[in-house]
Amino acid sequence: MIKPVKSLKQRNLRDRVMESLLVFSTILVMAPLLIIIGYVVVQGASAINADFFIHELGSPARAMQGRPTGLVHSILGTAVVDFLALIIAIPVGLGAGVMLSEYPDHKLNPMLRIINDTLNGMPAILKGLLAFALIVKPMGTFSGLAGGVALAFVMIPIIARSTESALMSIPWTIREAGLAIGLPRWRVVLSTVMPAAKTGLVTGFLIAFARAAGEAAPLLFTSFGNNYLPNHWTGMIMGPVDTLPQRLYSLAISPYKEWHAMGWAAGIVLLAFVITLFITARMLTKEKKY
Amino acid sequence: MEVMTKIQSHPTKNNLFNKVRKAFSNENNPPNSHGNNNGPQKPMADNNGPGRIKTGMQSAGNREKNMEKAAKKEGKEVRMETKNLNIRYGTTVAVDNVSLPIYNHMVTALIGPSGCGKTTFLRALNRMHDLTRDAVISGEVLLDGKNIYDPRVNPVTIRRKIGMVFQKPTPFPTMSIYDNVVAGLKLVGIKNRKLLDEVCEKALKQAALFEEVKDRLKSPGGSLSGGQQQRLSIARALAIEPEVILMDEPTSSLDPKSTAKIEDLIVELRKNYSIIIVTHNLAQATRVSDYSIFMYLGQLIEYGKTHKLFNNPKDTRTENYISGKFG
Ligand SMILES: Nc1ncnc2c1ncn2[C@@H]1O[C@H](COP(=O)(O)OP(=O)(O)OP(=O)(O)O)[C@@H](O)[C@H]1O
Ligand SMILES: [Mg+2]
Repeated sequence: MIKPVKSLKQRNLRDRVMESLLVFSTILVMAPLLIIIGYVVVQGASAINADFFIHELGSPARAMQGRPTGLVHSILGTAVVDFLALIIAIPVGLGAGVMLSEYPDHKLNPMLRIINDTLNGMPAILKGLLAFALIVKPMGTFSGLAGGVALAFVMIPIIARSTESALMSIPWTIREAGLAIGLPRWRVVLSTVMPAAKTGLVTGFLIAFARAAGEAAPLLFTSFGNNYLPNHWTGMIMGPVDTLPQRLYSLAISPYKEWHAMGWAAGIVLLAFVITLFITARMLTKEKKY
Repeated sequence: MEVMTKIQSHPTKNNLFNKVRKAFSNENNPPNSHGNNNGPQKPMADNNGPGRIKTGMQSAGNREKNMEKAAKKEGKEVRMETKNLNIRYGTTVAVDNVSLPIYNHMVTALIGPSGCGKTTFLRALNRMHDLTRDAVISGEVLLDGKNIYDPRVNPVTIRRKIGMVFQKPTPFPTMSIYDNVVAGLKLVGIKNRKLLDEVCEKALKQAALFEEVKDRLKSPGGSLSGGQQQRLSIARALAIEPEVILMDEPTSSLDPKSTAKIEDLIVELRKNYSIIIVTHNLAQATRVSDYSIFMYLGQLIEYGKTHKLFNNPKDTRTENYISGKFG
């Protein structure tokens, strides 16, 4: 019998050491996240109650006099602004991603890539400024729409990139097979490549969504913020509207102690929302592709 | 064999053949009043677009022209032709100045050692290189006397007439078996369910797959075994009723039984189609082909009747190859 150089015992020991090192570094990576989550929850838990989800914020006096107050207007506002951003960003980002992946020879392709990379690296606050110039100025008012456009600028380059890589992961032979049965190129992309890449595409949308949902900077001078729920839902699109990240910021810098706890509570809701999105994205990626 | 006889005596065979081609022409071209002598005259048979008529006349014109040649050339009709075809990838020359005719209703085998340019040559015949960025093509490829690389020619029309089966099976992963087979019709807007059903069944029978999948046409194409997927790819290519079929080692992933069925199919298809098949299996070339092309290092070395090329090679390189000395 051939004897291994190292005894079985020695090798087992090495395995153990390696494993514990890996576990240790995993903990190291996870620690900041866990600390943030823990801290936010501890600080904000006291402000989370039924009122929080039913009432609007109102003036500082409300909180100080112990009258019911909450962030329902921020939660609804976030939903509206993020949804607007998504319906703007998905078609644009998807189109750009398809262009990058499926038409590498197109004259506009190199320019598109540069624009997309620039947009991706651009500070979020500048995206807010851009939306301010494009929407707020002409409309003459801060609005949910402007916020949606600003967040769309955050989402578009992420969606474009994730779309590109999702489509590139589909073997080239699928496209050739489509062409070989006499399908036009766009039809091949639409009916054979994109369905095959569906999970990857949706995952990209979710990640872009989660990224944008946590952004406060682009919203400060676009959707601006609002202590009250507009009378009509269209007011959330056409007028200033509250969102969780921006509300978190303004509560945190406010001088009222009562509001600080609410700020942390806004953080809990935001975290829960973003984590849910990421976990969903993760589960989708894990799903068997084909 | 049972399947084959069934196909041979398939009563609707010619109807279906014409129906599919007509469905395409209806979809592509506005109806006009010109009739066409193809098959039984259903109401829709009159709706032949001008494009269709033109190609019809074109090939009729060619037929005449070629008939003259045929007198000299043992009655063979030229369907496709390459003229000084050169293809290179960057600086690698993969096909070197190949000029040859492809005869109608014949099976032409393309043989040669690995890397000699067979796949590259074959793909040039239906403009499959259009998407390969570094492939540079010069020369001409004629179908019925017309250059398919003419800028005015739409590659989509060319690929509908010149179908292709790839070396590796390529089912559309998210589509059902049924949808895979009829993809070439359904995805261009042909919705006639009855026609699609007929086409699907016929194509699957031709590809010797029907019996194995008839009870699960709705399950995904990716759920089939490798060999079944390859036959699915063949069925999909046949479903659009091309006129010329290019096959790149279609049986390399098949077991002997399916291989035999595909070979039978090729011999059978010869009646309606022109077939070019790349194969490393020389016995297969002798079994199914009428003509054989031997390529070496991108060049056309020898081209002739299969039995002549195999029994009586003129070039020593051909002789070496078929006697197994290299490749
Ligand atoms: N996409 C490509 N880019 C660069 N070179 C290529 C490409 N495809 C093929 N080649 C080269 O072109 C030559 C011919 O290749 P081709 O695939 O046509 O050979 P083949 O005769 O089909 O071989 P096989 O029998 O192994 O399939 C080879 O030298 C190959 O390396
Ligand atoms: Mg090859």
